[in-house]
Amino acid sequence: MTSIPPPPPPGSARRTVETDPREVEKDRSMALQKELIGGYYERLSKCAETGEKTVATFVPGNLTELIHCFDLVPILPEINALQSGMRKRSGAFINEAERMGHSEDVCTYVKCDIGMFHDGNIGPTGLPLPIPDHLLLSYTGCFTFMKWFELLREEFDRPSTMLQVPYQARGEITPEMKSYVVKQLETTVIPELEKLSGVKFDIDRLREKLELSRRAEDDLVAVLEAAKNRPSPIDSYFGGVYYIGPIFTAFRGTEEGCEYYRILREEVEARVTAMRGPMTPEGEMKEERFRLVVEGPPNWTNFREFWKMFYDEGAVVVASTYTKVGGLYDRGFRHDPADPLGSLAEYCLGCYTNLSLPKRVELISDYIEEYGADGFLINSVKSCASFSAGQLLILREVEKRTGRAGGFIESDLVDPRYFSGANIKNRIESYLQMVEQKRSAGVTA
Amino acid sequence: MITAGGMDVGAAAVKAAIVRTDNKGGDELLAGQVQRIRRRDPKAVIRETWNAALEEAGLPESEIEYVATTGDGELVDFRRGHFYSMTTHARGAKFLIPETTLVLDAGALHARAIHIDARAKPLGYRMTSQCASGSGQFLENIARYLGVALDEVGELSLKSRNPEMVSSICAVLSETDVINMVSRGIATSDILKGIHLSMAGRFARLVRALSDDGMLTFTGGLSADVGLVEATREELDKTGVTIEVRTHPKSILAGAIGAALWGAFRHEKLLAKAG
Amino acid sequence: MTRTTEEIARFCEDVYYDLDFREAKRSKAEMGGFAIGFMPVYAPREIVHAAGALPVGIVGAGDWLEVIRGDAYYQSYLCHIPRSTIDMAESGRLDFLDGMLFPSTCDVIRNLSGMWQLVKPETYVRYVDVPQNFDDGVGGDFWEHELRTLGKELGELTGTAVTDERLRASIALFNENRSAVNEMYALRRDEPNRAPTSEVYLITRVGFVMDVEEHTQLVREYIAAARAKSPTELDNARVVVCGAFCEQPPIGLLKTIERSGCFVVDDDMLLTTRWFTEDAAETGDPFRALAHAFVHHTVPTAVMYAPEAGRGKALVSRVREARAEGVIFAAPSFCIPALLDQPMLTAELDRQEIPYTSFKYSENAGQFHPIREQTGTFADTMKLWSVA
Ligand code: SF4
Ligand code: SF4
Repeated sequence: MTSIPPPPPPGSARRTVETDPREVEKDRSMALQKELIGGYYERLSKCAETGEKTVATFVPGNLTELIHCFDLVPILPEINALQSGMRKRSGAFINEAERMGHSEDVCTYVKCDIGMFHDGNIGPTGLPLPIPDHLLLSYTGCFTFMKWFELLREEFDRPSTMLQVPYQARGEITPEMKSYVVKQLETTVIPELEKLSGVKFDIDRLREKLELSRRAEDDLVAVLEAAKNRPSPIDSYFGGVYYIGPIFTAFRGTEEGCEYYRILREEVEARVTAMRGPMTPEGEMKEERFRLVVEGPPNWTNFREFWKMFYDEGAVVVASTYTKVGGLYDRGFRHDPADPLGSLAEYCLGCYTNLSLPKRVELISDYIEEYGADGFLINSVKSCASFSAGQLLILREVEKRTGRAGGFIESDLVDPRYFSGANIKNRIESYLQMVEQKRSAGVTA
Repeated sequence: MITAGGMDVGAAAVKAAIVRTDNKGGDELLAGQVQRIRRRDPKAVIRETWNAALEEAGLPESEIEYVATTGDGELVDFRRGHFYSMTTHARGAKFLIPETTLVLDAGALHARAIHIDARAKPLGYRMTSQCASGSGQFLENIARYLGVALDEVGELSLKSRNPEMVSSICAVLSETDVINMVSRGIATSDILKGIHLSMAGRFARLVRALSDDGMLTFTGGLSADVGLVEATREELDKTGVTIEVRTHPKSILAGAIGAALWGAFRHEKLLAKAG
Repeated sequence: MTRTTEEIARFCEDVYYDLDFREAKRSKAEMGGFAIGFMPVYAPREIVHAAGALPVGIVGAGDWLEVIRGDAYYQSYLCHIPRSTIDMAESGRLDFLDGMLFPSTCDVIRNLSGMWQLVKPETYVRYVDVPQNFDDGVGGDFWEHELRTLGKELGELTGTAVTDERLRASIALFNENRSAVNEMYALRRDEPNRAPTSEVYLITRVGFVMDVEEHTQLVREYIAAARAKSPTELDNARVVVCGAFCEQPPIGLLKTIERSGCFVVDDDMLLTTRWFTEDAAETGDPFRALAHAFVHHTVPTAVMYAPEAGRGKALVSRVREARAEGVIFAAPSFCIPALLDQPMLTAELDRQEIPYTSFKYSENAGQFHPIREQTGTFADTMKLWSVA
């Protein structure tokens, strides 16, 4: 589960052309990101000709640097699914999968992916996707991952490798957890990737890549923490999903990825100096009326509609948990060239969806304090039990701890049937009213 | 030849049948018995009905090679096998009227239309929803209110000249309707016909969802209600389909007969398996 | 005085319906005053037992608890077992437990382990992270360490250290119990009219709230009674029930399946009682023995990773071994692992031309009419229309 910049909306429906932030401001980071993603999908589409081999893997606990060490190209089915959602193709894919016998009750990413495969395996940018040569099952923070790759394996009979990442049930990474992951890297993952690629593992090459990761991670954290300013220069959820795109996917540990984050950081820091608010699809948000923390993934099928419900009310998201599913860098973790496999293991262990519920409560509460938020909102998605099971308790606990108002809305990731715009808008509006009331009561008190 | 018994345990009555068959189409009904349960111990009623059937067939129990149940079959502790009521009604209807392609099983609590093939295998079915207004229970309530014995209902309905239609499809509201009709002095036969037509309308919808031609055979507790059968015929005719509607004096036994015949079939299959 | 199978089953049914857990409380007292709950699918009960505590299986509250508080914890699109479980916790019914184990079955149970820490901060909670890597030196080592840690913590809790000797003894008792349960399952497979599933299930189930030795005895008593009776021959269709490994189908549902003309000759309910396909060694290092048994002799199930493609093959061999004619997929509504697994299984059944039907249930379902219809027509299909 994670995010990446969405492709431009289909031409016909572009009433917002003039006001698209990318058009308005022509931020260099945006152009660069577009280029990166476009190039990536193009590269994938040519794998059959170039002979490059591919490895499918998941965003949480992804081992991009390691995969690159073997000159392999990662494929990220979650990203394909969410991109299909943004391009309004997911509904048909999900129907197709359900028609084939997949249950209506399971994660729609899985069904979207399988439906896409059966529909010709055309990727989000309209180019064909290769069938992955290997399934690297980074089993972090979600049980569905395991079944997902088992299902794919039945579809196209490619080998799979399990990398089990123990759960931080007590909110800590023990030495045994770490050594278990390292051992699996050494005894299974690396040998499998060597076998697949014919490339011998070179730990120094990995160190170099991890150094690049570390640099980009520093910059990303600076970007995310810029939201502590008033006004916040960024939206850490709707904008945030763009910012995490490269580092959560195929560009961690690459020169291009590093470059992207360097530029992004400059841009955001410039906004801070200029005391400018975040960009929205309709231009810069002028007045910051509400500062919110958001828990849970966004909805992709109606992403812009959803976003608009926030910026129309002057609500900016200053911190979100979703932007941590591919790593909790803002809590100090960095990939470490001095401990290559160990830090990869810690990375896998530390992703947000691998945190215990009490830790999640703590993190959200801390965000509320650190970012001076007026309240927090939970978007509970039907697909994802990893996120959703227990969110009602999180709601009550965080309210109790912070005294700030919590809101709760329900939708889904890529199933358009579960996005009820009017309902959600209503909820958000009345939630913001409540925040307002609470705030003025707090002032008079 | 195989001799087999069938027991159909329903909510209101127990039906028993004994058949003899070569499993090749040479089927013969040796006995058929029906007893209403009427607040008695169902197990006792089952025993009695079964004994009566044995007596009618003139056979000792030991000669019955396979007893199959349908309905609440678990109450029959001398059963060998059990079949779902849809399967047995289909088979029973086919036995009674060999041209049958559609079965309407109308019982105390529900009605179900079944589309079957030449082997009596159900191909599809439609059922009334939970609501009681398509069921025998509902009709019984109305008859009781009107002071008419259940077995007179059909004949009375056939006499109707100006059927008084009920306005509602809901059982509770229909009953209110009927109360008003009585106070307005509407003839009993017209009220009954109205009720029949309302039920028949629902049946016709079930049937038409399955097929628009063929031979429809009534089975189950309501199959003896000639008024209801006639009303169903009328309702189907109205829609322009070419479905012939029939019932059979032994239609109420269809489930038990079907169970017995399928039991005989299983018996042969098991013998073959055992070598 | 010997009891009939029906009498034994009736006793078990009373225990099954008892949400005050009187049987568990009695066994707990007899064992020395400690009880540790565990959720499905697998828990290393041997360790709990060796620490002098009663392992108590918590598998929801079925259809006889009106869940009030639980719904405040869960959205409508999640399964039912966590709601009834947290409801029982909130209403104090589980206060007799000194701790809870949450196995790594799915994200719902995983997250429940954290919720427990918040809702019941005073109780011991451990997440039981079972290995999905089946190398002795990798997954085995990790699991062995987990088991040792669990043993150490439970020993501290109860004051009875989990010594090698104690653990070996517990392993032996659970091996014996498993073999008794397996024997009962074999009897049901061979002569299902003697041991119907609605009884076998209850007999197995009370093992979740009873001391293991007592339960082994009970199972043996049941087997003897079942062998002694002269049952009527029933010509039912033989089916395997699959997907019911976590949230449990209500007993009424099992009876419905049987009444509709089926013998359930194999199932995956209460799987922890039959988890190992071969016994854990009763000699040598007992932690190592449990770890070894886990990585090598775990029964295939949706929640365990299959290193190779062909998930459905294991089900097909279960069908063959049980001489079943078909499969009933009965999964809890919203059960993520069961429902994700199903398409892989049905694909293989299709290839092998094994008939199947599937439905979803909820532990608190009270209306079985549609299911009766479905399993009834399914049974008839197998009996009347199959070529075999
Ligand atoms: S369940 Fe959640 S984390 Fe898992 S694949 Fe689906 S969306 Fe991603
Ligand atoms: S019923 Fe299924 S989804 Fe629910 S807790 Fe159990 S395994 Fe998880």
